[in-house]
Amino acid sequence: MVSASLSLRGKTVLVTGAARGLGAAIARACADNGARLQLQDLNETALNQTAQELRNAGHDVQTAAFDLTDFGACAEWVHTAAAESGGIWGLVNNAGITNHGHVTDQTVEDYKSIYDLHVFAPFVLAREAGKAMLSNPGPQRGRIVSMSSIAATNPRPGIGNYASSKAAIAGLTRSLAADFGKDGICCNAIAPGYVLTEMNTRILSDEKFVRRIENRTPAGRWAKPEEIAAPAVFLLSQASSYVNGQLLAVDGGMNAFLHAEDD
Amino acid sequence: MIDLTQKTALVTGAGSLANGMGNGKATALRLAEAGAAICALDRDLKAAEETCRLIQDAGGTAIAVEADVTDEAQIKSAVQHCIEAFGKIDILQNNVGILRTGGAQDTTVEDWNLLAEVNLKAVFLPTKSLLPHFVENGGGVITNVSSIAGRQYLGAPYIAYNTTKGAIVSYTRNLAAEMAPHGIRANAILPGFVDTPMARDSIIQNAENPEQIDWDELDRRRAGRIPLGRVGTPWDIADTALYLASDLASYVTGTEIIVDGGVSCRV
Repeated sequence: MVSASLSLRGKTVLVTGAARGLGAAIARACADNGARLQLQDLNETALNQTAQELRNAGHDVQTAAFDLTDFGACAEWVHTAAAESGGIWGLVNNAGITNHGHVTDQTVEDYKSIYDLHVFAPFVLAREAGKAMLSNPGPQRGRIVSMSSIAATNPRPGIGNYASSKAAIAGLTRSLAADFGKDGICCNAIAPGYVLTEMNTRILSDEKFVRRIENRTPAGRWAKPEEIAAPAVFLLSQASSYVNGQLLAVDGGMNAFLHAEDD
Repeated sequence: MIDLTQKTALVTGAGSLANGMGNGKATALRLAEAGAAICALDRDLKAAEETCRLIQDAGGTAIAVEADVTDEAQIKSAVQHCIEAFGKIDILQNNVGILRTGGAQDTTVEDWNLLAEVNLKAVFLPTKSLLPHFVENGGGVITNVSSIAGRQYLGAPYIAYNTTKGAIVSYTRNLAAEMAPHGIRANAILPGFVDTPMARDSIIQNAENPEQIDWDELDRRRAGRIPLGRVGTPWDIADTALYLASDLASYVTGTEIIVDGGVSCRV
């Protein structure tokens, strides 16, 4: 009964950074599996467009355009969503940015701004969502899924703020799992490899870099956003009811392969 | 700094191919520099004797012991011989390993068995033979040489080798947990790309035109991937072995130290 256990029918799932890229793919995959959506993004126009596409396909979608580094707004969004939907089942901490630079060129502010979005906002959202999930009838009460990265364990040069924030969310995930585990709320993270998304537009324009990543990925190609969204659905579903506190690599085998020579 | 003057160390694979410098030989020399008496064990007695000569020339104490680590009787008798020579053994460095090329489809059963036979018995048998002595003495230190190849594919098919190196990590963790109540520590070292006679030999065996290998160019290409900007030397491994053997690591057991210039922490 795999299909039944992957179903999110009638369950409300919150997704951040849902207007484009990975977030939009996750929203679509959740909707396709029956979820009701509460979507957040900073870009209101893009968010409304994605939401409208999903509504046109018959899905139940609410939106909230705000800045996740406004932590008060984060908490308010969770409360409003829970009230509107009569409870929430899932939270996907997806929103992310890049602001790369060599460690000698970066400021504390370069780190703080990334950490606000990649660590502190997910913390506030998980805290408030977790509290809301406690009202769900047990024993299974909810799921929190956060986007980490292969960079958490294997960074390339020049992405210290991004990579360390992704290690922090992986660490936070383990603590969320420890704190919420007994309440039937499973908390896990996904470590994608290199994905064809809008966030990566800049590096995707570098043909040499694109080839290099292909060569270093046993699958021989970059991931499509849907290929990260599918594992997210698994981690939101009943099928993952005993998976807790894990960092799931979804990277085409990249972390298993250490490229020996420079290229 | 690190004083091993009252200690005796048994180092397996302490000789080097072609009179070069391998991890075992460098480790034997480093431990001797710190004052340890060395039992340099190798199946090639001449190679072990060369290591002893270098130690003795520098004022150290060493004996060469000929034994095959896959032969339990030989290893038992070698261990006994070393204990009799120095009264006790405190440190065991299991360094022996061999390499065969081959992927999941073309590795022969013979090669698979050979690698398990040599690389796993190389940690299992010397340890098993020495443990009663360590227990009797109330402690001891065991360091096994694994490889970063035990964790990640390195771009060339060495599946049997890599599997044995992964297994050495499991073996070491089990050993450490089981023997900790006896004051015995066990850890693994995972070298990255290290320029040793064995590593060169494997590159030569895989080359279509071995005589045309440009070693400097190969080093440059590899160094470009390594955050520290250079390929490792046997001394890098020996220094870590020295640390693990010393009291600086007295609370370190059941774990691994990767010595690879940072290469496995980036993509």
